[in-house]
Amino acid sequence: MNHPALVAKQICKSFGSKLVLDKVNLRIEAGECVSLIGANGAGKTTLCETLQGFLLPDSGEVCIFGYSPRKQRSKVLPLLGVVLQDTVLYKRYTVLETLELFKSFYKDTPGFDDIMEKLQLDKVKHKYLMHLSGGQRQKVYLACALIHRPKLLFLDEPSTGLDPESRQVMWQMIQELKQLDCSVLLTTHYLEEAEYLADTLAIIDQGKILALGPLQDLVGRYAQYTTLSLVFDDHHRRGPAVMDEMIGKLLERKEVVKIKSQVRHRLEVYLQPSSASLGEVSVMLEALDMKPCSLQLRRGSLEDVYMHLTGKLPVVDEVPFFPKDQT
Amino acid sequence: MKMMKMFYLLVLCRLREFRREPSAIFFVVFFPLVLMTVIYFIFDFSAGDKGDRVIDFIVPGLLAFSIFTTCLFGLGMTFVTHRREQLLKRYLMTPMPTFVYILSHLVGRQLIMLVEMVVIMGCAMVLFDFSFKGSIWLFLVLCSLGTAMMSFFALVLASRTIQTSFYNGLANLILLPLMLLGEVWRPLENLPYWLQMVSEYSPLTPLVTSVRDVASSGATVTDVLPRIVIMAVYTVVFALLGHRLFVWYSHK
Repeated sequence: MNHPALVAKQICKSFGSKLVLDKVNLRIEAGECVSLIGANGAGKTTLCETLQGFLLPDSGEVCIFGYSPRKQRSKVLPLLGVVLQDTVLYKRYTVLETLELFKSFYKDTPGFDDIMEKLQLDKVKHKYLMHLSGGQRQKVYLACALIHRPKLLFLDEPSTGLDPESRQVMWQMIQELKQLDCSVLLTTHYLEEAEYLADTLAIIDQGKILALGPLQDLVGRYAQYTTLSLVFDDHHRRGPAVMDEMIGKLLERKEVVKIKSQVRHRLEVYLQPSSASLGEVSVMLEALDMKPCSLQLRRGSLEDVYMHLTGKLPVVDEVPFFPKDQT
Repeated sequence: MKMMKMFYLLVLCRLREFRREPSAIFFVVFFPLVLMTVIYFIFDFSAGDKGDRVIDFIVPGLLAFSIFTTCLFGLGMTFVTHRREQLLKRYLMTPMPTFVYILSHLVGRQLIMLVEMVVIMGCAMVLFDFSFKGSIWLFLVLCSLGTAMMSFFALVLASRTIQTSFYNGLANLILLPLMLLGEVWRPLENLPYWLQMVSEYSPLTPLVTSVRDVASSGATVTDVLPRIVIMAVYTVVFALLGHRLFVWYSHK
């Protein structure tokens, strides 16, 4: 197959008067992993459903290995593997029965024999899905998606509920699939996962792809500042007023570009790259009479890129900000 | 061959779902028996000639009603749940033809109907001296046609919603008038004429009365043919409506 795994050109989609996808372009080559990153409501699901052929775009064109996912579905479906975010398979079905059922849907299932071993499902193969942990169930869903060795894999939040070890196993497996020329479209909230797996990152917000490219390119373009993380102790005595005063002092320094975040006694500050050595930072903190119990300097990351482009942290809900009226 | 195996596994899936779901077993097997026993203690089953006793009226009606409710709640609720849990959407992403999935439900429901029939009729014969007068094959055809009709009816009712509570309410809303007009528990001679006409052409009545006439009075194909036609028409109409209305997933 000489066609790219997936090509989406100028996709627009509206629901009523609300524009949900705005001229989205995306291309996935064979063996490439593209990660779609965006907040809830950014348009990820609508884009995925349009690419999978569930939704008809208002304008634009989607091709999967040269086929239209809506008009040539019988040619496209054997090439696809899918892990949907909220799918629940038969609860009173064993792992083995589930996999055998999905096996029967495909002509060739070269992945059936070793999939359970690789995903460590052997020990639970006779257990009902309802008796498995969330992580084990997620593995079963992944196994169902991989049973026929798909050429293009749609993964929607695949590692949700997985413990760290299982997540590593799953990542390893996706890396192996990429080496077998399987392309992946990964939708995730975990930036670490996207950084680890994706060759290309697509940041989507309000239906628009704001940036598309390899991590290093995006960091070079959008996250040239260095992040200084400071953790202070005895925050109970310091309180928000003292933290505010420190922030004020920091912002007066020419080395400081802006405050990235403040969560209780933890402060993250963007610094000019030119003044981002440990020595210079120590001098600056001494001059400000600040004595953090830990400090860390790191170069721009995907999180910084995301924040720069969207103006928000990727998982805002999970950040417990210090209440202003608490002392 | 591959298609046959796929179909076989999907039907097996339906049967396993049924066998492993305690509430399904209860409503298909035990509930009709409990109902029959309760009615036995209320009415005198032995009074009257064979064919005219309360049991001869109640048992076939109970079977038809059981087919109706298990299709409505068992099948319809399964479609709604599978849609809500995105299983239907997941199936759409496989090469499995969608008609195979629907067909597996229809065939599975027929097999479950056989279990219902054997349990209800068997227990009525063994425990309550019910005597079966007509052709067992005609009886089977009627039950099978009734199951197909009610399955498509459930398909239509469950064609759009993803909320089980909404479907539950809708099914109950449909169930009550059809049960009252369906001659399940007693004859409708005292009803106004126009209501008797409505009853005659409602989906449940032809099933109830035809299986009753065959089982209790030994009616022949000619006797029940008009009711077979009504059921066949309903089956086709519900199938077409289901095909037109059924959605496999709803965009969130």
